[in-house]
Amino acid sequence: MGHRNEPPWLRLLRTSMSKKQTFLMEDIFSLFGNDSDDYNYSYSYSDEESDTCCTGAVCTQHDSMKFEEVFVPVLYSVVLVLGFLGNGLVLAVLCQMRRGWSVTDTFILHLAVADTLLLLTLPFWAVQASMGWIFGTPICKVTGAVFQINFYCGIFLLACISLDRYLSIIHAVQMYSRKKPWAVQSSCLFVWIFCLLLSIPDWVFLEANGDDRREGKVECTHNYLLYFNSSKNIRMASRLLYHIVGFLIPSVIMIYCYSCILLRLIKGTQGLQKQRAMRVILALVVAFFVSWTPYNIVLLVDTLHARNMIEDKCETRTTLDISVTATSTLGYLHCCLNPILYAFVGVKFRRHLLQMLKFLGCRLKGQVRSASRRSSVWSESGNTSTSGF
Amino acid sequence: MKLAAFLLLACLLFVHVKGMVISPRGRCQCIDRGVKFIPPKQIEKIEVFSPSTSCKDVEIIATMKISGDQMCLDPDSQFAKNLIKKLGQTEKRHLE
Repeated sequence: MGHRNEPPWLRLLRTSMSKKQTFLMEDIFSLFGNDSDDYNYSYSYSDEESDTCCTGAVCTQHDSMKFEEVFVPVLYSVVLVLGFLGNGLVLAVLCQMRRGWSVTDTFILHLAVADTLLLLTLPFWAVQASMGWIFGTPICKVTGAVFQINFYCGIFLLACISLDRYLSIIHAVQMYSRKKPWAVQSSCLFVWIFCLLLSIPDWVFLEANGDDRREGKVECTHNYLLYFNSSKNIRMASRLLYHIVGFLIPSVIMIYCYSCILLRLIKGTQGLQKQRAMRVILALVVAFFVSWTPYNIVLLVDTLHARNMIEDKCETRTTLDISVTATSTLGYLHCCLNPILYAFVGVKFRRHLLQMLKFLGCRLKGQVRSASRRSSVWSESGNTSTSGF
Repeated sequence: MKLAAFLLLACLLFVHVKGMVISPRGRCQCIDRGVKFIPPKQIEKIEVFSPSTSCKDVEIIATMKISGDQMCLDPDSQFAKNLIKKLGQTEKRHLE
């Protein structure tokens, strides 16, 4: 706003200054004397004042930053511990049964790796929230990109798993089979490469920057200043693409695939394992949407706010900032749910886990009921799905 | 199918996708453009914020003498321009 026809001196100011500058009025007047123009001709400015467009209200980010300082380290620690526990167990179990990986197991392996890598970046963000980014720009780029890659990768892999189950159950198409293990590996590779490409902007733009508007705190953020003048549109475009690529497409794929499977289940034979399968599907879908819908709604509201469709008040801004922080944490919590929803729901996984725990000397009296063995479709959909129900 | 995937990918890269998760959460400090004039005698100090990652605009915030309230000054107003011209001349002495 108002950038295009700015005078050269303001442009100079804009580029030459990297920080806030404070001037005391007394000093200015002592330099120029009280006979300066602005003293004597203030009445002419008063005429300008008469247009009532603006109140000049100031809105600092103090409140939302204080919230982050407390909320982020605490909640991220909880997510980190839970996530490491779950995903670590999944990785350990998968390592133990190295031979008999099914197609879904491969996806689950990649999912667990992606979730673990994402969780590894959380301590960095927690430190940033409490004391600022103290790690420098190179680590900022690496951490940000790792976060972004695994954030997208996790969601795409969930869509892949639902697609695989859909194809094998509804169409009896074995896209992947044991005979061609490269097929599933190359699918995962494609997902990783795609996510790596999505992270290119992060490698370029992420920097550790001190910002006087945020009380001088150094933070690892995207710096578009050097490259673009109108970053607002870029921000909007990228946000729209986040909604589409990061939420809408995976949601549509998951909803379509799982509702087809559910319909097939309803039409099919009655039975215990059918009810179980339906419950598992519902849990998967509900967990995904409970985790990610609030964040997407808050971002949508924020976009409307940026487009001036919602009245701009300081309380609105603070509420939005706090909501973004809170709901994104809810989203990361989904990383902790994945091991339960995808791996340990399957009988095979639990059996191996129990074996492993026994091996480690833990005396856990778990019983794997043979009746539920057939429902192991959820970890072996590649080969047993059609006979699973 | 491959072509579609490629096109999607090309589009994504073209507009520089970034997730909003670690994006700058900062905002500008002024709710609107700011007032065009503040009687200089009421001003205690002036803070000039240059563009940063959280806000692309120059923002001028004045702190009032008596109340300590803060108020944004429209950088495009004649008053602010005159003021900044002077501030530019004193810049060297008062650089923080």
